[in-house]
Amino acid sequence: MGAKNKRQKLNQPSKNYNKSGPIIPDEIIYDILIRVPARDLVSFKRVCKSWKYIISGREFSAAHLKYWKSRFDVILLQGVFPHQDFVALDIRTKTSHRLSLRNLVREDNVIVLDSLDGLILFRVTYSKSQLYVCNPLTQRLKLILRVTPFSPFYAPFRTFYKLVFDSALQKYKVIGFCYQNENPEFALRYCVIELDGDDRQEAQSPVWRNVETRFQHLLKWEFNTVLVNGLLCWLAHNITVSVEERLVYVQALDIVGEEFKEKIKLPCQPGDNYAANCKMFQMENVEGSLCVAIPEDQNELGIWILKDWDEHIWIKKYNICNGQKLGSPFHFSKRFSILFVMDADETEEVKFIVRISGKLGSYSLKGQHQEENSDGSPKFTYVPSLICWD
Amino acid sequence: MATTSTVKLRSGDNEVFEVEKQVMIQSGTIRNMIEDDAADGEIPLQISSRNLAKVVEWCKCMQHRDRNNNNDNKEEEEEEEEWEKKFDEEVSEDKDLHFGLLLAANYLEIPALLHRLCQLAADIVKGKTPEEIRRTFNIKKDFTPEEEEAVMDEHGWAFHD
Repeated sequence: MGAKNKRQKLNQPSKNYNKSGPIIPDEIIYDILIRVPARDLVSFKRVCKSWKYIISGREFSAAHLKYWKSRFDVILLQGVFPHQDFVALDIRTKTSHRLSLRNLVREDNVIVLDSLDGLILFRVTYSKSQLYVCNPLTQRLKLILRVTPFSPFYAPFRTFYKLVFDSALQKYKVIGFCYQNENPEFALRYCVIELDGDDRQEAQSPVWRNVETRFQHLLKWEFNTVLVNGLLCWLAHNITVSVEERLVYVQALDIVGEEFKEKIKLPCQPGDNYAANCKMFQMENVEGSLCVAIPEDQNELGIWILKDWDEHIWIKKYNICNGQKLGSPFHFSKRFSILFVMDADETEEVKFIVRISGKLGSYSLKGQHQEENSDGSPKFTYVPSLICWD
Repeated sequence: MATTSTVKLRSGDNEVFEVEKQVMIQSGTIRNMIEDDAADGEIPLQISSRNLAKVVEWCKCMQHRDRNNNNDNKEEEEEEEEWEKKFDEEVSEDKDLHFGLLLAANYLEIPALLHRLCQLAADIVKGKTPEEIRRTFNIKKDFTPEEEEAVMDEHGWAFHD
């Protein structure tokens, strides 16, 4: 725009006032609403038609996701049976809201399998053959048939499903893993399904692709994974050797290339009490780096960061006191990160070890979720945002 | 060619602010005018003197901070933080100022100020009811009762306290 036009524009009388005060134009409202947590947006659709129009827009959903992706301040707690509703807990404001998945699928027993960017991957207990991916705020629901390449193998094979984001395709994928504990003959298998925009339930379910692997390091007691820069990482050990010789590795799957990375040995190993010590290992994504907590003796956890994936360089960041039993680890943002979540069984308290601006501290929420935590093992998953997957 | 190192901004109520160009180039609108040699003489703006004074103050503070970015002066840093905190409080408590600045930041194209103000607005609206929002933003409810009910039905299942 030329200088003349500029000046003309500047000279135009402002239309932004009415009798009762200034009217904020929609472009600014858009910028404000981007910064509003998703749970408020749901009720803000009732403000007026133009707000509803803004919030319902695809472009807005994408922009809102982008803004909130880096701000993981909300975690989702799942209530235990039979109270299967969920509680979304905002760490910063310490406010919580109920979220009812069972009302969405009209089924009582919803089991959350994974969650990413506010999308929730779940199944309902009665059905072994169906998975759902849901965006709780837009009510978008995708049905995925669980008739996978694993189908000939039922128990004792264990299956896990993970929700990941493929940055090359710009699509969410569900990855299914299947393994049999302590059986070297049966290598890990996995298959992938891509989510596209067609989320009508009656639409044809996407098709699973089986992915060939020659994967020698089987998984352990449970399948905790963490996403770090497009890699889905988990801890694994080689079960083809005796317990005394076993080492724990980081195994990673490149989500875009669908290839396994070279395994990386942990800087410290579980040592004598192998099985018990392994259970204490925790992983997290700290500002884009893989972080592992390793028990170093009875009272201390070492927090290690994998600094270089190619050279396998680990750096020790902190020691923290290991006085209490650890629950599931969680959740990071730039300013504030939760390193580990403590079990809440005795004190009605959910305790977090947090890092704020490089310093460690602890943080607790007392008595807020007693009912949900009554079995002592709350499940935590992130639900930071409103999103769409296409 | 631009010859002076300052620009003159005239507010809607005819007060003139003379500000260093270096400070005002944070405004995309003013920067374009300076680059187009259209910033000589007074630049008339549809912004009240109260709001314009605040915008200029903010720009000065940010420019000062950016210039001292490599400086490890703890005292100054604290002072700036204090200033920003005061700015946030003042704006949050005064809706006319807040909205006036929002419009001014948008009009002058100052993204950093606009983002700050939007964040403050987002903090204010969080947890409010639709009716409270309408009052805050001077919005008329344009839904019929049936339409409003339809919106509520659409999401009624999602969150309930």
